[in-house]
Amino acid sequence: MDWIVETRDLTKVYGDGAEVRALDGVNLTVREGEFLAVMGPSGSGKSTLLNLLGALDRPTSGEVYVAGERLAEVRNLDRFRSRTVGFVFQMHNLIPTLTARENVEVPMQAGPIPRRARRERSEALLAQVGLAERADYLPAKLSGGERQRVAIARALANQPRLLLADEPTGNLDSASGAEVMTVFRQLNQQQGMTVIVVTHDPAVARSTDRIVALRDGRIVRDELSENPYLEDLREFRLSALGQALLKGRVPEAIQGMGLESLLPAMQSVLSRV
Amino acid sequence: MVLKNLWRRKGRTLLTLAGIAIGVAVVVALLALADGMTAQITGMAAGGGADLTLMQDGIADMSFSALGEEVGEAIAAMPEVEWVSGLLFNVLPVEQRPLFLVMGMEPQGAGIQHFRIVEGRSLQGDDEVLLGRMAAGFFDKGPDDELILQGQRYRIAGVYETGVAYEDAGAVLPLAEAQRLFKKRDQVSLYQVKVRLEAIGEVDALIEKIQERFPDVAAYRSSEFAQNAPDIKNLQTIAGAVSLIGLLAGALGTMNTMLMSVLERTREIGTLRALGWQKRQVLGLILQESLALSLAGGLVGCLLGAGLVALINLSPALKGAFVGRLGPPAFATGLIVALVLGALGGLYPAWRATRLQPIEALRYE
Repeated sequence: MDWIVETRDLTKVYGDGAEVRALDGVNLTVREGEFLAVMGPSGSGKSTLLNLLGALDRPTSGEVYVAGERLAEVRNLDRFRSRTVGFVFQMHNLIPTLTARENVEVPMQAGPIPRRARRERSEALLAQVGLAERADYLPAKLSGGERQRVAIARALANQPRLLLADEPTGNLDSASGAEVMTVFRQLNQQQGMTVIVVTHDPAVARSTDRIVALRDGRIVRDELSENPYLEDLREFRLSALGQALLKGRVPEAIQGMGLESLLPAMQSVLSRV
Repeated sequence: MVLKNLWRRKGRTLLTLAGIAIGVAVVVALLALADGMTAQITGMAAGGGADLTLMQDGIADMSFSALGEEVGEAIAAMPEVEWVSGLLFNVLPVEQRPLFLVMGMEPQGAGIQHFRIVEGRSLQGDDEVLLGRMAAGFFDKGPDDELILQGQRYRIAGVYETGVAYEDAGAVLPLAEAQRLFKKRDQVSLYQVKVRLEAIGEVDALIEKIQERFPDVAAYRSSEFAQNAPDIKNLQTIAGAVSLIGLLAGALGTMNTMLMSVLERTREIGTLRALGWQKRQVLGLILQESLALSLAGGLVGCLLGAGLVALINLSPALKGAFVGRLGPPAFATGLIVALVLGALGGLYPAWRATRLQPIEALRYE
């Protein structure tokens, strides 16, 4: 079997009083070497899904298998995280007092790698993300995109099988964001690295090969991305305005702006995507 | 990484370090003073070559010790004993010195033989006094000058030196005159006993024999006398209590600093955990930081303590009264205190850090 990720009826419920079903019976399979985006508005459960895949959190019910291991049975989740997955966060979360190279070495300190090898490996990884020249810079001296690339190098330090990125472009301008997505693309194409990116940005999602859309904790769509604008339209259909237009209504707040005359056409477009 | 983390908050780290250093300095200085006092009293007890030193049993302070002269006579008659020398001492204010040691000794006795006369001559009359070399220095007096003790005028016959600061900063009166002046007729504070060479193997038996015969006498080997002196024991108790308070204050300071530091770095610790660091690695990191902090504080504290002791030794008002002796034991204790402090102060914050759930820590703003 070449699944690297498989979830069965994955459910996560938060809170004791007012329950929030962050994930509600998610079945997802990811093949080794895939590059996919998990998309959805905030609160759709996409970050929860990522945390469960990365063993940062435990499900309320259901199963997660990663790289052949059933996570519920893994005794040392720290070691699992250190060996199997690499994380990239929305905030780069680099340690401000350490240089780029030292930050890349941090995850290696969890293992038995000798100092010299750590250094060599961190330099190679920084070169791979195009930051060989910046190895001795402190994070404060790097641009946002550069910091995020250091964070990617750090995520790769222990040669993970799976890269998990939570809104990696969320704090970046679109040029830096594209730069970061290019790094992911290269890792995927050149090394066959499996990359799962959580995003709410359709443009970012489109730059991957497959888009899994979540809404209210359920997968509402899971398909390969092709037409670059289809995704935007689908996002729009899911939005409050899109839903209203689909039902043939123009919300009161924006009446009189001329949308009324477009209504039939909009309705017909939205019903087809 | 440990040092860089500490250096992130220079002000806070330095303040905590100063707190630890002051605590350790006090511990080091107190120990040095207790050590110095022990050495001084040992020097006094063993100085003349005496093997045993006797004092009254069950007293709170050596200056209260009183032994009747019949005890000395009886012990001198024992076959194992070569000589017995009585010593009466008192501490009184003289001129601008608040504490001045005056000893009464037989002018021709065995106990005074090691008081080397460096100026003038030895005691001949009851109105004469010998002055220690240090005392001669701070009173700026010499042979034929006058010294007034409790309203009585004495002529300085000579100046002596023994090498023991307590003695060199004091004065010696003839025993009979001292007994009259201090109203201790036929009494001495201590007896020094020299054991015959052939009986030297039976010192313990002799101690038992003396204590059996005179139940209110405490007899010790001169080398062990100081450790058993109530004054030293009291000082050690005070030193211990002050050290404990210092330790507690230092540990709380360290704990506060490390707790703040853990709180500020919640996200970072969450990141470390997400990147695969185990709980014990996070624990180790925080503990190392707190130990590094307290060790640095301990080293600074030892230097500060040494400075404090040097200051006390140099202080003209205290010259001869307090003699600090700095040695490896004082420094070692200071450093151990600092490390215990670091461990105590670091353990709870480190444990708190390991309790952070990575996912919540990552969300922490």
